[in-house]
Amino acid sequence: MATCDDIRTDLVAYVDGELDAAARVAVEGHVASCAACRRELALLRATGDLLAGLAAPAPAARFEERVRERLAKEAAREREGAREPIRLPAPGRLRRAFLAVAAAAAILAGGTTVYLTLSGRLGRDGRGTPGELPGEGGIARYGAGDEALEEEAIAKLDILENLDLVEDLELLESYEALEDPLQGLDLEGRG
Amino acid sequence: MPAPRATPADDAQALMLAFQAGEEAAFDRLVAATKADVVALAYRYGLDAARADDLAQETFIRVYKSRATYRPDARFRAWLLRIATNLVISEARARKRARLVPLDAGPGGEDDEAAAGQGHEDARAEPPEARLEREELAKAIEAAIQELPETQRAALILNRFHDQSYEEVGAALGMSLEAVKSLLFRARQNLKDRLARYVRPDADGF
Repeated sequence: MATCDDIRTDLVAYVDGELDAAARVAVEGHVASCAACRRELALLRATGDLLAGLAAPAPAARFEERVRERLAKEAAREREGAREPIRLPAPGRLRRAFLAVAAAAAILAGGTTVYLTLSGRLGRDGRGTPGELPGEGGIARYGAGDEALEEEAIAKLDILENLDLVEDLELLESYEALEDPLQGLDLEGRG
Repeated sequence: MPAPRATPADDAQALMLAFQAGEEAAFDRLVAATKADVVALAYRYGLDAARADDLAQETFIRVYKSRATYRPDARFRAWLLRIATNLVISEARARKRARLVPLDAGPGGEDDEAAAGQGHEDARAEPPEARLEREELAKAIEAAIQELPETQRAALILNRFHDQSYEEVGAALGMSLEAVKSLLFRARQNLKDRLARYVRPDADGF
């Protein structure tokens, strides 16, 4: 016979109908003879039921039009950007390019260590004076010759991970938006 | 065994495939068919109605741009909710880092109240006491959800409010089935404790 500890963490999955047959039988067998677990099961089930009545607002009027407007605005901005000769990284370099951009964003987001290290580099490279935050211009000028910056960014990966920027890498990579490396990083432009 | 019936999710999948194949108008129909789901998800994370709308629009912009990466073997709704979840979590983290107002601490303006009430078409027919009680309960539940640790909250919202199976929640959050099971168990326990005064179990567990 399964003990309380054996089946306890299965109780919610049981209520949700997510257990396989064997685990389900184990829960039912135990609960039939254990009043405490029976009560726990009832409470967990009732808690789930409580959530059912929660309402959410309906989408605003003209929702679809607003999506279209924003898409048009972005397309216009991209056309605007295309007139300037910005060298974009080749597809194979996308991952490393993202890391470099993420490093720059991390700096903006307060990654002091990265900032101190990279600001020296940026100064030496003539991309800004030491102590100056590399802004969008610096990032937009990112091109094929910045191996050292990339390597440094990759070396700081652990810091970037702490800043949660790399977690979205897979998702971001799948976006065409990455053709413009700045676009996927618009994390705080809204609200 | 009953024949599988066509659900709105199937429709959305078909629309996505049509859009992917180049039928531009299918995108608008897709947005119309699924927008409420995405707005509700953002709202569940504590965004007010206006910001929930904004985030949902951003989600569809991502859908539009990454249409080429959608694979028909992935359920469209799971894919959509995953994009929305990633966006809302990214925004929440960016806010936390920037030490801005937390998502759930915005002033509860009249817009919020009005918006929150929209889901209840029969609200006016209710006796005032019952309505007050329901509103108090809704506030308590929403507060309890916001207090959950981030991953518990994400798993709970996907599973409980958007009918995503444990497997789909795992895919969305990059977690094993066991991890999802444990996460949802802890989330439910936390809610049970925080909402203890409202929880009224039936006499029997099952």
